[in-house]
Amino acid sequence: MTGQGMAGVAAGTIVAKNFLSFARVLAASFRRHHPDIPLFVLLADEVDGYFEPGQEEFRLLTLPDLAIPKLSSFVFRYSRQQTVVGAKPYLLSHLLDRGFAAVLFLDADMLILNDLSDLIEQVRGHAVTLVPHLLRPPVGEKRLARELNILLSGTYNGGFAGFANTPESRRFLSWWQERLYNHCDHDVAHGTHYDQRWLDFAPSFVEDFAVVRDPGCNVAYWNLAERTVEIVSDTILAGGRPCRWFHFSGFEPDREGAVTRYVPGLKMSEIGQAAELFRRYVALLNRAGYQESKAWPFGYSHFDNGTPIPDVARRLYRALGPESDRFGDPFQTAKPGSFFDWLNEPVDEVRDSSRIVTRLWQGVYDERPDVQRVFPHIFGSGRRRYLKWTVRYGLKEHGISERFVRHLGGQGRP
Amino acid sequence: MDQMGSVAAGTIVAKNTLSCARVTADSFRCHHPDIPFFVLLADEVDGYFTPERERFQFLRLGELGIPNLHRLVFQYSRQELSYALTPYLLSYLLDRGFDCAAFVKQESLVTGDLTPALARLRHDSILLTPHLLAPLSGSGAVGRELNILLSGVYNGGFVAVSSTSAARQFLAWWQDRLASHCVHAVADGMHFEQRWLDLVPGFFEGVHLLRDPGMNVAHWNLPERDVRVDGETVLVDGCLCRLFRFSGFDPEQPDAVTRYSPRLTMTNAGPAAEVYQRYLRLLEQAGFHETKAWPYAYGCFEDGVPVPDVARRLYRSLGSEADCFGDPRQTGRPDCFVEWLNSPVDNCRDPAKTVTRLWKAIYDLRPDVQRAYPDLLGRSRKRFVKWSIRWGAREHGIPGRFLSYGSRSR
Repeated sequence: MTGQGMAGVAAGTIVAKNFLSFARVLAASFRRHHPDIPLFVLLADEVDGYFEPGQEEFRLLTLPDLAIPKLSSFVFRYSRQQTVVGAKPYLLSHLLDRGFAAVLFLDADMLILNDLSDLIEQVRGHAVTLVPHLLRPPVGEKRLARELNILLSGTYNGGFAGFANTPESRRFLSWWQERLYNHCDHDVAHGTHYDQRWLDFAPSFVEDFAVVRDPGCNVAYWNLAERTVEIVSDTILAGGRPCRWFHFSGFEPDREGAVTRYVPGLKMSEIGQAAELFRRYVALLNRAGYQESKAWPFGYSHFDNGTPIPDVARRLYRALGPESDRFGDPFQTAKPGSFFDWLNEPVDEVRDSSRIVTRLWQGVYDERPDVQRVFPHIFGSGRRRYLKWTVRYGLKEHGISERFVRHLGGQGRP
Repeated sequence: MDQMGSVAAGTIVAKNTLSCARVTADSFRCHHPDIPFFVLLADEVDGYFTPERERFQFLRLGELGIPNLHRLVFQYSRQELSYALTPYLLSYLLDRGFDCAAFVKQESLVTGDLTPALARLRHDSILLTPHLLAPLSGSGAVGRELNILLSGVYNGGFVAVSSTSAARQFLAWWQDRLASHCVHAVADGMHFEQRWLDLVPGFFEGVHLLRDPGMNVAHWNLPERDVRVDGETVLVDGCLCRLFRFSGFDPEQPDAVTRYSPRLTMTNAGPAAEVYQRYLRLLEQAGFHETKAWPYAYGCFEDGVPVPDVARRLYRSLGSEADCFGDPRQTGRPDCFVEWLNSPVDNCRDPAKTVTRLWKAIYDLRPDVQRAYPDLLGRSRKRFVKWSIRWGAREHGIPGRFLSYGSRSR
């Protein structure tokens, strides 16, 4: 099964380095079933000496390898998780550009358990191939809640994507890139769920679109109720069919007994033999260095002066749109006219430095309707009390460094 | 056509939009004289018109055999009810023995032959039309796409099924979901009947997406579709326009294309404006001005008092528990739904301080009111009751019957 038919196929996944052990486990399990298909791991992070890429058993790609426009701007605008998922269509395009006829994206928190040849054939035969979260209506008391949850997060799971190199798939990829460059958000009430909700358009935008209907593919907490896992000696079945791969979405190895952070109530004791898969997975992760790599820091989380980048600063940057170009590299703080300085500039003209509301703190205020109600006039009578709040609560609640507190008499700059 | 077997089509209206159904039915018949067109009235005739004189096959709600019909009728507004009935109408037509059934939403004009699309049902079970066929570009692109993600990728204005088991499963599932969740709550994943359709290609086999740009031309895709009018014929991107949809068009605001997109006006709609003009004339000829004010029979309790929306919502939230009230529109019995709405939530019997279930439900819907009266069953009680009489009744359209426990007299 690994002969002619698999030629010209590549697989890819994306991690930040704190998830490196997951990528190692995925790569090893994939290689076991498909040794001839190269698996590329895109590091959406900096190596920073934490590991030795040349010693890994997969091909490592870094962000500069991809055609991401204004890369520093891209990585600045997003959190770690957003950067990891936002890079997905760029990785897929890159692999197609390298000449592969078809590419599979696999989330790093997957374990390949069986031969994927049928799936790969399907991917080769269609412009775009996706896996629905659910293949038939769920039954039981929670059926509506489960469906509504899927409607809010997206019909198709972004953990898998298959693209053949056709004009249609390329067109869809460039559209997906464009959307994720600015809108890789988690704001379900407004129609976004990172990269995933955008995929709901795939059947509309891509005529040669295929759905993976094998219930053995992408078994995960959201479909476990319909796909009972059975382990019969060496064979793992899901819903009576060979389990192709299990997706440990939201699983945190350090939280014993919990299946996924997305369903806090779901216990290992409630998922039958699937719990055994989780046990095996933890063992594999530990052997792959989970304990060591889990705390490795994200390379894009600080300005170049060491100040952590608050999420609100990322959002303010993104809201500026093309205007943000004038800052150049937004991580750089030393040069005049930096984004860091811009954040620390006063919004209005006050002489008294203890009364300065900076752009950053205005940004925080704009995101907090509760704070707005308590301090309705921050440029009037509420100014002093709001500034007190920023020091007392705002810093902690928004994970903001004290370097952004100008009104303490200190300056934004060291 | 023979291989397709027998086909029926239909739409659903309350009687205030009967003129829309007439236009849709007439235009459908013009292109398909041999296919029967049914109009399901999600309302009562009440002597306002004579069904036998209409040029379509008339269906009363009672003919569909909907279980717990009074529940469905009471828990939804006029608009919600007509949408929630879509899968019931399609099932009914298949049950009558038609091999294929097509639903066309009321505000439509059939401008061409739909049978090429319906012919897909020889092989497929379910036909849907995507709102968009290609990614949008330009300045409003992201906003328009997000809007579609919130309202549903597929448009509920045209849905067709064949009598396969996959289609039957689809209809049974859609009915089950719409039995209680045909509401507009986009932040919770619902947009009436439509958003549920996003799940259909994953759930059921034999789903075909119609990619003919002449199907379901409407405000959401007009900027991308090149509409030309040539006499009676409407062309879209050089192809025949088969189904034009007037979603959100208000004949009394004829300069606006749709209430959903203020950016589109008849002056910037290009030749499509002519199609709207034509539709407007047809509506007027079909009695628009006469029918528009016809009352909704299920808008009131049996004694003529209007049903407030919050009462429908409360009733819906009770689920099957609400069966104990019997027909919720009936009044005058001690165990009727109105009495339940008017009963106090606790033991307080002082009329100036009594919070009834109805007002508690309104309180729960209003974070602003909660902030103003944080201790509803304690210190804020009296002031909330005052608010309910002074402002709440007006803001929520609450009839006097529900105003304050003490003054409510029988």
